[in-house]
Formats: sequence, structure tokens, C-alpha cells
Amino acid sequence: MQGEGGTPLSELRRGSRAVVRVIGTPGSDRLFDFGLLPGTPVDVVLEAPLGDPLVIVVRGTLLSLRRRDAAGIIVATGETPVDRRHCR
Amino acid sequence: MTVAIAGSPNVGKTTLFNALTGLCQHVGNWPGKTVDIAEGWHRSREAELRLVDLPGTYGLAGNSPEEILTRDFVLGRVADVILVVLEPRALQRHLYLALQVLEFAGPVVLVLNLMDSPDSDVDLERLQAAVRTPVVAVSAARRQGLAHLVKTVLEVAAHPPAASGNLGILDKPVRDLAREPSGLNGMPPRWEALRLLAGDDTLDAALARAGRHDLLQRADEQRQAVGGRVRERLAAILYEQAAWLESLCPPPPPYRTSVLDRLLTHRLLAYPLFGLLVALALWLTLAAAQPLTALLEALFSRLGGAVALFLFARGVSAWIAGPLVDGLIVGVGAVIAVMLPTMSIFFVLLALLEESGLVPRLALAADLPLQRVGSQGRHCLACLVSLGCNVPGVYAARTMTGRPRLLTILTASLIPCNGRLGVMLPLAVLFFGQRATLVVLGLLALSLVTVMLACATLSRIWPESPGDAVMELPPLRWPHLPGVLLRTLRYRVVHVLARASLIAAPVMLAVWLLGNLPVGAGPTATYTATLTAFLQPAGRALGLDGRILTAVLFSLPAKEIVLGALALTGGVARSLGETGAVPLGVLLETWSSFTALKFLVFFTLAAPCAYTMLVIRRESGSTARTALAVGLSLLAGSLATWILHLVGRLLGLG
Repeated sequence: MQGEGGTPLSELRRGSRAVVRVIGTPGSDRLFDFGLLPGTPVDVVLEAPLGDPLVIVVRGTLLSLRRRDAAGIIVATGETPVDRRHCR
Repeated sequence: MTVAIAGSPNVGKTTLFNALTGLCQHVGNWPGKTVDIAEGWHRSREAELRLVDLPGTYGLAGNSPEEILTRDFVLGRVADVILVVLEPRALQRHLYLALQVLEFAGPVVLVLNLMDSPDSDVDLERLQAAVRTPVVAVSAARRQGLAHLVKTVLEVAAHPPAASGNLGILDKPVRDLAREPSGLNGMPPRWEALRLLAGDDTLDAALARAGRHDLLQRADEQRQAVGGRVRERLAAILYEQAAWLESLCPPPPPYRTSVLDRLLTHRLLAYPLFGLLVALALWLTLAAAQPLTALLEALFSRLGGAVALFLFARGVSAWIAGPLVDGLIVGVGAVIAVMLPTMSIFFVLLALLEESGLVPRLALAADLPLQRVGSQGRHCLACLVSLGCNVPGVYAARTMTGRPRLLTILTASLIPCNGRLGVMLPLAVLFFGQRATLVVLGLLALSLVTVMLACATLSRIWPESPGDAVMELPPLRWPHLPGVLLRTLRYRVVHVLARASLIAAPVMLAVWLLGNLPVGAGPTATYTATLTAFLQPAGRALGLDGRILTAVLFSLPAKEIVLGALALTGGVARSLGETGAVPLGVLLETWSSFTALKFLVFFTLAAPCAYTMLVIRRESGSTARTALAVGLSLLAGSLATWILHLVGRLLGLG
């Protein structure tokens, strides 16, 4: 785990895994419905052709999330990169 | 007994609904609702159930018009039993919804929908004991386990299991607030208490009006006591329970991104691939529909002839026979002949693309360009649907919220539907021969650019609504063809076509009368001729003429009749029924190819059909916005035509 601060989800590269710390995106009711909550593991698996939105896997669901919305989600990244094939 | 089927989108809810009801279903209008819900009957020896297929929802928060509809239906206790459909993939998310329904409504039967067979490795007994409500495994696609499901529904209706809520730290404040419910909106007291605690502007305003400031103040105190962020806490509590329940089941296979996933998000290949896919769907539609349309046209004209002969033989006056045959049978017939084949083929193809998960990936690819003009990826899906027919294109906005939803509704009619494409293509072939495809593609590009420009302009009116661009991408999979066929033909084709014909009929009659009154008038003295003369100056200004504008006006009930209308206003024909060779031949004589191009531009963009206007009014809930939508298309069409006219004059054309 990194230090206290963490990284915005929008800055993660494709194939990386992280755990959500804080959700500060406005209008995040929809995110809550998908179970994107503090403590939830997230995998960034794809990017749209033009680089935005991101495609993440949350609790087995594939979600498209704009970088701007992802910028409000602070995550903690693990030290070892995780093979995205094994993510859930 | 009424049984509602709830569940997340793409969970197989509708497949289950179809499996239970068979062909015995229709679109029901529920009191107080402006949205149609599919309902049907299941009849067997043991039971007669009325089933309601609710729109898919991820939770009860009500994040879109469809979700609000489902929430109100579920919480309004209209149903005796609610089925919540789950599937092994993303089971936690499905359980999250199920727990909410269990908590605030009921009685509930959980239906685990399995792809292959109901013999799953899920230990239903354990799951059932943990959620304290029956869980039934079925395979909706294979129609297995349905009898057991019906039996369980009857048992639950007779002996509803005692609901036992567990909202963790929110339990106490909710119980406290639910003690003296306002009874204002007919919602369950515990739900109202939770909304109060979470903060709901609409509810707060209603309570303030009703003078329940005590309740509002208590909610404030309780919210502070739990430390705020109620929505997030609720989701966390429910997901914790859902995760525990999921751990009772064998873990689902992890999501693997496939080669196709990577291709469809490829920097260079994605857009050409999607372009090809859409072009293929359009080409297949137009190619396959043409012979069917010709067949139907011949059929209706023969029917018209037979009825005319029958009426003539009985000595019925021409003033009754005329409108009936030329106005109604041939006119409405022309609409059906064009719409039925094209819509059936196009919408089945589109539904296959949707269900396979390809269209959501197109929405993903289109999100950034649309984001730049204030809309979002799902708008692209609505545009695709609009290519088939603008009406379902407007309906497609129901899954959206905020500004993108309004933009989608308002710009839908700028997309040429199959009716318009059906006119554009033969005209382009007639005037531009080999280059017809290029002309039509150019017109489609013009429509796309206009939609983007309109969005960019309109998005300045409304504030941004954050968070509504989050979208689930269902896994890529083979679509279930019978289900797709049934749903598409029933709800997108037959339903729309029936209403379109109903609306078209009186306008067809009016057009016939305008073209034949006053009694005894020659071709230059009819009301149509007067109208044409009146519109002449406006037409000239755009580089068109009064006859063309009148014809476009006459095609208000259905755009596909514009060729007949052109023949009518050109004085060649007295009825709209004359399609095909006659009007085309006349046009070739009277129009230059530059005029044809101007007409095509105007016709691509200008003025939605009457039914679309009606649906825009219904979905936007505002006459002003409907006027804005109509004005927008008229303005865009006129402006584009005018610019083309000016450019053409500079180049010495026309």
C-alpha cells in the first residue's frame, strides 16, 4: 500500500489493480449502486479508443467510467502488478 | 394475482417473462404512469398469474426515469409477489438489489437464472436460509424450472415470509423516523424514513409544504448522529451482506477481456469496425426490405381497387369512396408498406447487436466525442435506433438522466429514419446514379454533424449533471434469437406501427380533402394549390418552391409518403397513393439534380413526423421543449438548404 494520500483512479494505467479509499465524485449514487465503495478492489481493464472513458471491473461488473468522474475516486495501489486476467 | 419481475438490466428478466407468458402479453398502461410496461398472463392448472416485466434497475435509488418507474412500482405494493432475477455473474450486485426489495417491499422470491440448466452448484438451501426468502433456480432460455417457480410464488403469496430488515447502524434512525410517517406519497414508512435520512429534495419540499418540520428536524439530528453520507453507508451495509451471501455460493469465473473487447476499443480499428457494422445493418435492411415493400404496396393498391369497385357497384358517392380508398387504404397502406419491412429487419438486427453487447461498446467509443458537446455515449445508441424510427429513438432516452437525456430527446428527429431513408435512396439513385451511395452517406454525415452542433448549442441551456455517464458494459455473448425476435417485433415494430397508422389516418384524410376541395375546383384552385401559392415565397428563398414545402408538410403523418405528396402538389396526382414510377418520372422532368440535392438536404433534417412530435411531448413533458425540437429541425433543415443554395449560386448551379 502507498502512503495515506493515494492516487486518483483516473491516473491508473490499463491492467492495474487498486483498492478504493474515498469516493468524492459528485452524483455518485450510481457508483454506489454498482458497489464502488471505500474498500472495494477495482481493476482497470480497458480504455475507450480515444483514451476516455476507462473500463473498470467492480465486483464482477464491467463499468465504463469517465476520467473526470474517476478523478474524484482516490485509490490505493498495491506494490505488485496484478495480471488482469485474474481480476474479478 | 399480480407478480412483478424485477432485476438488473441484461439479467434475463424479459426472457423469463417471455418463458412464463408465451405469446399472451401486451403493453399495459398503468394508472398515473406515462410509460408503458409489458404485462402478460401465465395460465396453468394451478394458477392464473398476471406478470409485469419491470424495466431493469440497479437499485431503488431511482437514477433514471426507468429506474424511478420500477422503484415506484415495487414500493407501491402493486404486486402480490415480486420476483427478483439474479444470475451467477456479478451475483453481489444482483443480491444488492434483492436485499433492497426484501427490505422495503415484498414478499419476494429470488430467481437464480442460469444459462444452461437449473442444476447449479449453488447451494440453494443455504442461500435460502440466509436471506430468509425462497430461492428458485431456473433456466429461462431453456424454459426449465418454471413449474417449480410458479409453485413457490403461490406458496409465498399464501404465506409471506416475515421480513426482517438489517440496516446496520442505519437501523435505529430509520426505525425512529418511520414511527410517524407522513403518509404523503404512499411509500412504505421505512423507505420514507430512509429517504429522509439520506436527504431527498423532493420529499423534503413536500414535507415542508405539509408542515412536518418536526420530521425534517429529527431527520437532520439523526443524520448528524450517524455521521452523514447516508447513501454511501447504506450501499456499504447492503454490499457487505451481499458479499457474505455470495461467499455461500461457488465463485463465478473472473471476467476476462477477450480479443474482441480489445479490437472494439482499439485506437485505430474500433471506429472503422463500428462504421462497417452500422453500414452493414443499414444495407441489409434496405436491400432486404425493398421487395417486401413492393409486395405490400401492390397488395394495398389491389385492396384499394377492389374496395373502390365494390363501392362503385353499390352506387356510393365519390365523396365517400374517394377519401376512403385514396386517402385511407392507399395512404395508410403506403406507410405500412414502407415501415413494416424496414423496421422489422432493422430493429431485429439492432436488437441482436444490442444483446450481444456490441452496442454498449459503441456507446463507450462514442462517449468522448459526445461528452465534448455535453451529451454522453448512450446518446449514440439512441441515434442508431432513430435510424430505424425516431419514436423508439426518443424512448431510448429513458435510460438516461439530466442534460444528455434532454439532448437525446430534442435531437432525435434530426436523424433520418427508415421512412426518410426509403425516400432518399431512390431519389439519389434517380438523380445521381452511380454516386447515389456517396450522396446518401453525405446526407447521413450531415445529419450526424447537425446533431453534434445542436447538442453543442443546446447544452449551454442546461447545467451539467455529473455522474450519469457511468454505464455497465454487459459481457459479449451470443444473443438469444427467439427472445430478440419476439420483443423487437412486438414492442418496437407492431406497437409503434399500429399507433403511427392511427395517427396517420386522419391526416391522410385531411390531405385528400385539401387536394380535392372546394367541390368542382380544377387542379389550380384546390386548397392544396392555395397553400402551395402561399408557401411559394418561403420555398423560393431556400432555393426550393411552394410545391416542395407543401409536400413536406403533407408528409407530416409519415415521411415516406412525400413522393406521393410531391406528385399531388405537382398536380399530377389527386391522391397520395401514387408512389413509385409516376411521381419519380415527374420529378426527373421538373427538377434539376441541384434542386434534388437541396430537397434531399431539407428532407433529411426538417420536421419530425406527427407521431414523433407526440412522443417528444410525452417524454419531455413540456410543450415548449417539443416546440424547440420541431423548431430546431426546421431551422437546421432550412439553414443547411439555404447555405447549399447560396454556394450553388456562387458556383453557377441551378
